[in-house]
Amino acid sequence: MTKRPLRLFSILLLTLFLFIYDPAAAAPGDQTGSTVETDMSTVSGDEEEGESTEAAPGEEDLSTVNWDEASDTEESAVSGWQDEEDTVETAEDKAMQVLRMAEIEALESRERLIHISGFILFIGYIIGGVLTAFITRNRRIALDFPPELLILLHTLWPLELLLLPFFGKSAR
Amino acid sequence: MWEILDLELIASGLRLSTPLILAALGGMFSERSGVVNIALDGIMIFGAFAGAVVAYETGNPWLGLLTSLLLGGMIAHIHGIASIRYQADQVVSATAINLLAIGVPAVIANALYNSTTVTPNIDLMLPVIKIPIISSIPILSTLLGKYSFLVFFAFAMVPISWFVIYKTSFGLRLRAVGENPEAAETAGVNVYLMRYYGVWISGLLAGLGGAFLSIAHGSSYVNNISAGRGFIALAALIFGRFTPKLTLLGCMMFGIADAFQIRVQGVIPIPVQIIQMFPYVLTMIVLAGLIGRAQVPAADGIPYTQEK
Repeated sequence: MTKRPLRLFSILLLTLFLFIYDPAAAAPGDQTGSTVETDMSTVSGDEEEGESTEAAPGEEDLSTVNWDEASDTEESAVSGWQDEEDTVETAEDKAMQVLRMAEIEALESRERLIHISGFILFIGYIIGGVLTAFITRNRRIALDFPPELLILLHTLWPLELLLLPFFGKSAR
Repeated sequence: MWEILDLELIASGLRLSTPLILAALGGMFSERSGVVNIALDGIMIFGAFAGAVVAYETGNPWLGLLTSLLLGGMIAHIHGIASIRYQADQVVSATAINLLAIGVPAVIANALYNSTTVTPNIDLMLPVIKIPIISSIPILSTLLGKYSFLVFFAFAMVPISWFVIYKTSFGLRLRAVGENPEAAETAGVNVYLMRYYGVWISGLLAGLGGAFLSIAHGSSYVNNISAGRGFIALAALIFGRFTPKLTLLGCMMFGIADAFQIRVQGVIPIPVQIIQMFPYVLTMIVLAGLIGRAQVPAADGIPYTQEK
């Protein structure tokens, strides 16, 4: 009699183990990433790019090829007459780089402006709502209006402030 | 296996606990006023959707955040009108909102972007704030170095909520209508108005929790973006016995559990689906009574009828 629950328990454990155990997942590197949800904040974009260059089985690992050297050897044979063009190109590249830097700076300053003004708007709206609710708590608008309407007015508090001259008389 | 148990896990847990903290604090205001609000999950979805759409259309994440805040308040207000004014069953009313949150964003997204499941990626997300001195200290920089604005806002809301509930006359009235509305009415407190305030604040905060998911942690709205976080926030609230400090602990526990299940995927040889169950299983264990009986406000969930 005492063995029966023990046996049942061990069968349950075994079943659970068989259910949980996934041999495909046990092999290292075989996780094909069927994750539905990922914490994007912990993902490093650089790392991901690095991983993506790893060769798939059966393919040549292109990341190990030094493309610079390969192209250098080909180009060295015909490069003499291109020197003048190269100098012109590098000057153009520099000009483009400067232009791009200026664009990036302009974009960054625009983003900074959006963030600062947005932060002020967001915090200002919350504080404005709280202050409006506090100011109007003893006024006719708060006591005579139904609570449903009052809450809506608090949500859109600039409208409530506009109505204050008409309904703003103190009731106490 | 052990390498995943590092400071980055805690940092990730703090990030993931942010929507839970916002929703749970919101739920606390509602429950303290005597209105059960299980619509937090639906409100988070509405907030996430509105935030993503407005941030994408205007190119300004702050306008998206503000819209999430206001829409969250409005949706909660519908729950308030149904359960306070018309005295509908609070659970049924909230469930209706949760069901609406499954369908309405999909319909609008389909009309706007020809996709029922996802909105386009926003160009600009909410800013990540680096604390100047801390970000140069090795260990602290990992733990507290840089987070989205809403993470700091959520953690700041904990002491603010504590102060409002326990140290202001507003908080006293809110607790009074949640414990004994008849006595509060006798003392001259407008029970209906206080309950509306509680539900409204819960909607505002839950809307922000949703906005965190779509414009701070992620960069677009995807179908069912909350993944039941509103319900986990409720579990954290019950775990925290309706107090801000313990609720924060509960949210952090669930947030770290969530971060753990994400980081452990692929590290131990268990199917991902089993690992993803971890936070939800933890929720069930917590709710099953490991934490003892929570002290629910006496009039929580009971509609109030004003005596003439």
